[in-house]
Amino acid sequence: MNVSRPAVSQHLRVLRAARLVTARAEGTRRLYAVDPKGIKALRTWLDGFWDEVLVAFKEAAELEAANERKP
Amino acid sequence: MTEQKMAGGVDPNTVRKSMSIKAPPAVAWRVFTEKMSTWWPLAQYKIGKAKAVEAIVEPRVGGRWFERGADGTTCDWGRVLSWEPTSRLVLSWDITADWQYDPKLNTEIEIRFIAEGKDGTRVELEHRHLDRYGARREEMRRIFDTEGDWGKVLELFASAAAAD
Repeated sequence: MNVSRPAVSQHLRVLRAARLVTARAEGTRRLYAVDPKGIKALRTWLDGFWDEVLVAFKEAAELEAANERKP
Repeated sequence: MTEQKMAGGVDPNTVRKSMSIKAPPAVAWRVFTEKMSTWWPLAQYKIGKAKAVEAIVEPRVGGRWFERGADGTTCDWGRVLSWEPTSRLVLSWDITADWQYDPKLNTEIEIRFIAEGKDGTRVELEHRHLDRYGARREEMRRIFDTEGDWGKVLELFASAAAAD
């Protein structure tokens, strides 16, 4: 990679602060992995206002319909 | 996930979404109009200073669409422009790009509830007249519609990394 080690570490710190990756220490090394929870939250945000509102509405309406079908 | 409707190409002043739900139109209408507090993401999408606890649509043309805070204060979002149970609702969305109420803004949201199959509903949402955001139209269109591509994620990362 055409990037210095400290620069990579700095970028990973930013990702970790944003909770997009997790980090664990192994000896003197730090191992980073993608954090699925963080990515999911980001996805939700990226989906846009009306997507989020409509998906919330869909869940509520389907729950209501299911409750009404019960004898 | 909702679907994009792209009939007639991209209209920069309109955001369109549609989806199918497993509930008949009468239930969909009732949940949308009477029970908005139970599903609207009030934690994120509200404009008042107080914690928002209710989202209310007054059931008549000219009715208010507003949030009520835990402290009892209310903040208007818009007005009911058309009230046609159980098929069509048009609301004005009068929240500016700075998330303040401005009754003169008057963007419009039309929601149609169309019977689909047995006990299903096609819900179509159109948010139009985004040109009323003036210079901030494109910024707002993206917020309402979608930022959803990974190129954007990488841009966000790049700008966060650059600012660090």
